[in-house]
Amino acid sequence: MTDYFQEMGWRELEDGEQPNHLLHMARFLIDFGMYDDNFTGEWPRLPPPASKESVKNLKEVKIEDENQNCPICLKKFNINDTAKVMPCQHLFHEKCILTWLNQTNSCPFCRHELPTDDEAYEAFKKEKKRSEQRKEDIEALHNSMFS
Amino acid sequence: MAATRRLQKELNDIRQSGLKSFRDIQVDESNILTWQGLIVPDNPPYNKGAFRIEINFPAEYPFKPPKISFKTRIYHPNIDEKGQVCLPIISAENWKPATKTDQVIQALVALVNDPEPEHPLRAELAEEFLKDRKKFTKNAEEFTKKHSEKRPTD
Repeated sequence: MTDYFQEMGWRELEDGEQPNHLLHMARFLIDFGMYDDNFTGEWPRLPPPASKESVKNLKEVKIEDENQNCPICLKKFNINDTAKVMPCQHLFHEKCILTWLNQTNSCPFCRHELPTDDEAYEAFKKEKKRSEQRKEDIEALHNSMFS
Repeated sequence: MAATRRLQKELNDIRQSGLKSFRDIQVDESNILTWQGLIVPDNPPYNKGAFRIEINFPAEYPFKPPKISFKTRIYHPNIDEKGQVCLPIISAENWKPATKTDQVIQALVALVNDPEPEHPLRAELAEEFLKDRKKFTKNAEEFTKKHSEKRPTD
């Protein structure tokens, strides 16, 4: 059964955990096309802050090229300054990037997203991914039948 | 204040590079958070005049986006009678601090030159733009002649 659970993005209930009936109802409605564009749409406001964990784990580098500047304050880095590196490899002053990530979870340069601590937002992202996957699967099935 | 330092740099850069379609930039030395300037569009029917805009930067800039409003009246599907304009790159959900003011101005000039009737602020103008372009162009031209400012000559 593991495969089926994985495919659906589910896990077994822990001891004493109650199923989330509201979520199941929502999934049921979406799967039957009753809330068609709910999860294909965009998050209606600024996404939540980056998770504490992901901010804590940001790597640091020593600046070696003096012609680079921080995309937030636009000031040049000094050689031997330490800068914070986002997973997308964009560099920022620590103070600049932390202020931003405290507000929302994406790279100020390219919007690469960090995980958040916001359950509703993470659920939204998961459902969105799921609905995209579903669309692809249906298309693949269609192509395999008619090509 | 971080906003002041970055804005000073952006203002110097813009003044040095000289944007063709954004002229006569005026900033009060005591308050760098408010800029005024003239949008000089290239495309008809707006190429008969110039339009004054005001850019207001919040104290939290660049962590919060600037706001733009038109001080000159304009006949345009995406700009309402109060001078409010809906520009996606400075909306709260889309804003990112790496976006610089010259990019924002360029996006605004592009919107003025080529209206987007799919996302109108003035539905009646969008409809006219889509259904009767000739009439729209004539109205917009007359409106521009009547209300807009003179284009800089140099």
